[in-house]
Amino acid sequence: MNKSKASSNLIYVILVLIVLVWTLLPIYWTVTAAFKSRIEVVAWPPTFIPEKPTLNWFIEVWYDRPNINYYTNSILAMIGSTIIALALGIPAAYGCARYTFKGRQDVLFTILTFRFLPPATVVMPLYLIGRTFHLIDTTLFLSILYGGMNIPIITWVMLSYFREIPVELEESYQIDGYTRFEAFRRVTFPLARPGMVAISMLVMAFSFGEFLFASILTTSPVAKTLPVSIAEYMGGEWGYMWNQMAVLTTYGLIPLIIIFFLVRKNLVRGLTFGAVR
Amino acid sequence: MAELVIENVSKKFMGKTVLDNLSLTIHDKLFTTIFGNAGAGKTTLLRIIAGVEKPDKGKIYLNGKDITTFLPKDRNIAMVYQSFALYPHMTVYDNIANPLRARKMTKSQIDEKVNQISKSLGIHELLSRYPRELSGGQAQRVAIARSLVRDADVYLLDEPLTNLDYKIREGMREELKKMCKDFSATLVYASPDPLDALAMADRVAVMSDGKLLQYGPTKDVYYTPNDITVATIFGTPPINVLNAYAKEMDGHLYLETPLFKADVTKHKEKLSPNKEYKVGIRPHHLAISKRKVEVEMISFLAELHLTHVVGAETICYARSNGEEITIHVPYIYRMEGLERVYIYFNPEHLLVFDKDTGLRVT
Repeated sequence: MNKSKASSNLIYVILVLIVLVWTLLPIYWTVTAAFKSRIEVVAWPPTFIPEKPTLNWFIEVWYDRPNINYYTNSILAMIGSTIIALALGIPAAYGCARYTFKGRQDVLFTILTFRFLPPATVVMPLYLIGRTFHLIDTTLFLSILYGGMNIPIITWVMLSYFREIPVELEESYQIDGYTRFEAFRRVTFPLARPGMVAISMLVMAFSFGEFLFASILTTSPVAKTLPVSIAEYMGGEWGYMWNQMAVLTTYGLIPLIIIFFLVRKNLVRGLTFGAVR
Repeated sequence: MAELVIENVSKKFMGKTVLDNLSLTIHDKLFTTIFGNAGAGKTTLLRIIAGVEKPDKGKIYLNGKDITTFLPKDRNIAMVYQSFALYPHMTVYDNIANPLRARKMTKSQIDEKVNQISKSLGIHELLSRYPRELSGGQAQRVAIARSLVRDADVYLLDEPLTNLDYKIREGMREELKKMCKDFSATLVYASPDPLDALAMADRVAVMSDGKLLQYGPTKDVYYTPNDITVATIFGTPPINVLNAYAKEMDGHLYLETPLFKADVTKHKEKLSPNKEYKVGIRPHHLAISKRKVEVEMISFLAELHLTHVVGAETICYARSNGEEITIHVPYIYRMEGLERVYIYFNPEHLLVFDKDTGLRVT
C-alpha cells in the first residue's frame, strides 16, 4: 500500500513538472532572450542563462519606435473592452438567471452564437463599418469589438454563477428592509465576485493580446497595439529582431501579473458554500 | 396589534394555478399554521405576504392597510426561509444585525438587541462565526433570531424544521411555541407535517391545490374536519376510511360497513336511510385487545399483520374483510406472528361523510 502510494506520488510529481516546464519554459526563454545579445539570442545550442546580460533592449524599444503609444493603447483597449463586456454581460447574465421570460433560452443561445463566428470572416465587414463611422484607427473601436467578443463568455460564466446563488438570499435581504438593488449589491455581487474577477482576468488577457483586429483596424501610433508592434519586428531589413520582441513581450506580461496579484484573493471560491442547506 | 387579511388571492405560474381565490385572516398574537402537502401553495402564499411575489389577483391588508403593492422592505413582515437563507459572507452577528441596520438604529441599540436575542436563543457564543461553520440546528436558530430581532407585525416561517433532524425538530417545536408566547408574536408557520400544527398551532389553515379547505382552532379542525380531504391529510397516521350504508331497522338507524354495524340513531335527522356514506375513524381512537371486552363500544375481529414502534408508541396495521385498518396505540406492542385481535372503538369518534360531496355529516 505504501509502495503504491509512493509511486502515485511520483507520478503526480512528474506530471506537475511536465506542466511547469510546458508553461514556464516559453516564458523563461522569452524573458531571458530580452537580456541576451543579438548574436546570443540565435545561438545554437541556446544558452539558458544569458552570458553577458544587457538592459539595452529594455531602453532601446522606447526610442526606436513609438512603443510607448502602442503599450498605452493596449492597456486602454484592455480596460475599455473589459468595462464594456462586464457592463453588458453581467446584467444579461443576472437577468437570465433571475427572471423567466419568453425566449430566454433563445437569447442565451443567440449570445453564444456570436462566439461561434471565426473573427477572420468578419474583419473586412468590420473594416467597412469602422470606416463609415470614422472609427478606424481608434482605441474606442477596438474596445467595442473586444468587449463585444467577450460578452458571450462573461454572460455564460456569470449565468452559472448567479444561478448558484440562491434567490432566497436576495429575497431575505429585501425582507430585512432593503431595496432589490441593495440586495444585489450587498449579497449577490460580493458572492459572485470570485467569478467576476476570474472571468475579467480572462477577458483582459484576451484583449491585451488580440492581434487580428488590431493589425487590420489600426494604422498609426494613435491606436496600434503592442501585439501589432511586436509583429512588426519580424522581417524587414534587420531580419527577425528577437530581442525587441522578447522585451516587448516581457513588458506586456507586467500589467497582467500586477492585476493578477491585486485580485488573487478574490479568485478564491467557496464563499457560497454554507449559504443554503 | 397585528391583523393580516388575505383577500381573494390568486396566483398562477406558467398557466398552473398555485393559489386559487384564497381568503384568510391571521389573528393577532396567535400561532397560525398553514398546513398542506408539498405543492399546496403554502410557500407561494408566504412569499406573497412577504412581498417578494406579486399576486395575480386579490389584496393583502395589514392592520387595515392595503399593502398589496408595497415593497417587502415597507411591510414590516419578517420571514424565515426553509433553507434559512443566511448570508454566507457575513458573520452570525452581521446576519442578525442586518434588519436592524436597515432601520437606521444606532450601534449600541443594535448591539443590545443582537445580544439579547442571541442569548435567549442560545447562540450567543456563535456571533463571530460564519454560516458555513454552523450546524443545521444552529443555522436555524440564527435564521429565527434574524427575524425575531425585528419588531415585526407578522413573522412568517416557511417549514423551518424540515431541514433538521428528528431530535432537534422535537426540541424546536417546544421552543417555537414558547417563543410565540414570550415575544407575544403573530406567527404564520407553513408546514407539511400535521404534527407541527398539532403540537404548536393555535389555528390551522388546511390547504390543498391552492385552495383553503378549512381554517379554525387546531382542535376543531382535527376533531371536526369539514370534509373527507381535510380528515385524510390533516392527521398522522392517516384516518381510516370505510364505505358505509345507512339502514333503518326497528326504529333504529344503523350504518353498515364491511367491518361493523354502528347505531347512529341519534344523528337520525342528518342521515337518510338507504344511502351510501363514508365513515372515518382516527387510528388513535382505535384500541386493540386479544380477548373480547365487554364494554359499550363497537368491536370487530381483524388480523394484525404489521406493527411499527415509534418512540414509545406503536402503529399497527390490520386486515379484516378486505379492508386495511391502521391503529395507533400509546404503548409498545410487538406482534408475534400473525395475530387475530379485537379492535374496538367508541362510536362517538366516528366521522360520517357524504359519499358524493365528501362533506362531513356528523
